[in-house]
Amino acid sequence: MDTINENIFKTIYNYLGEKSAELFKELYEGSSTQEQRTGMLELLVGVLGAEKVKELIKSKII
Amino acid sequence: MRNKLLIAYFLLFLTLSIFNVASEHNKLLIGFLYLSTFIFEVSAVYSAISAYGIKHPLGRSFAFICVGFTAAASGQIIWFYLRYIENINPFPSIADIFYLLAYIFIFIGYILMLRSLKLHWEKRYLEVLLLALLVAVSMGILVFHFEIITILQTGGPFLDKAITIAYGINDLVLIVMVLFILRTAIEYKKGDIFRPWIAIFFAQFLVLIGDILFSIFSKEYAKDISPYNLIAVVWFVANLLVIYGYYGFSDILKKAQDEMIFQVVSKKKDK
Repeated sequence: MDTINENIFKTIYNYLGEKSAELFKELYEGSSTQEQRTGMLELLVGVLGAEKVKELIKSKII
Repeated sequence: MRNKLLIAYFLLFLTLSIFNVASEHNKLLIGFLYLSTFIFEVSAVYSAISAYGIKHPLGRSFAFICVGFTAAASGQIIWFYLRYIENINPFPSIADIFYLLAYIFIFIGYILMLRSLKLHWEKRYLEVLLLALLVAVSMGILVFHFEIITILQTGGPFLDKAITIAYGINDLVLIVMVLFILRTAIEYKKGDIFRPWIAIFFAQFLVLIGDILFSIFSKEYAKDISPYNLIAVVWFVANLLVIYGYYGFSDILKKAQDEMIFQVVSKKKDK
C-alpha cells in the first residue's frame, strides 16, 4: 500500500489549505502515486484553473 | 442566497441614499447599514481563515487582515455612537486611531499574503499591468495632491491635518497593494479562486475612489448635498465586495472539501 506522496500532500496544503490536505490524505491513503497525482490535478484545476496548473507543471512545482 | 442578500443590501442602501430626505431616522438607518457591513467583513475574513487553517501562510495573513477589519469595525462603532447617539462631530476622534490601525494590520496581512504566494512578474501580464500601473500612478497623483498637499496648504488644527495626511499616506500604500492584488487575481484568471481575488481587488480600488472623491468633495459631503452623499455608496459597495470575496475563499475550498468528504464516505461504505 502506498502512503501519501509528500510533495503531493504539500502541494494540496499550499494551495487548498490544511483541512483539504488532511481530507486528501484520508481519501488517497493506499492509492498509487499516479492516482494521487491525478486526484491532485483534478482538485487544483477546479480551484486554481487549468492555466495556473499548467504553469505549475511546466515550472516543475507539481 | 448570500449573493442575493448582498445585492438586496446594496439596493436598500442605494435607495436610501438617493432618496435621502435628510431625516435623522433615514441617516440613522444608512449609518446602521454601513456599520453592519464592517461586522460582516470580520465574519467573512474569519471564514476564510477557517477554510485555510490558521497555521497555513494564507490563513495567517488573513488573520492579520481580520484584526485590521476588527479595528475598522471598532472604529465604525465608535463613529456611529458619536455621530448618531451623542450627536457630535466624530472627526477627529478615537475612531480615527482604530481606522488607521486597521490599515496597518491589513497592510501586514497583504504583505504576508503576497510573500506566501511567491508570484513572478511575467511578460504575458505586461499589458494589463502597465495599464493598471498607469491608473495607479494617476490615482497616486490625485491622492498626493488632494489628501496631502491640499491639506498641508489649508489652515485648521494640527491634529485634524495630521490625521487626514495619515489617511492620505495609507491610501498611497494601498495603491501599491491594489496592484499586487490585481497581479494575484490575474494569476488565477480561469479558476474558481479568481472571483474572490478580483472582488477584493475591486473592493480596495473602490475604497481608493471613495477616499479621493471624499477628499475633493468633503465639504459638500459633510453638508449631505446630493449627489456628493453618494460617495458613501462607493465605500458601501467596497465593503460588500470584501464580504463577497472573503466568503468566496471559504465557499470554494468548502466545495472542494465537501466533494472529498463525499468520496471518503463512499469509499468507506464500499469497504
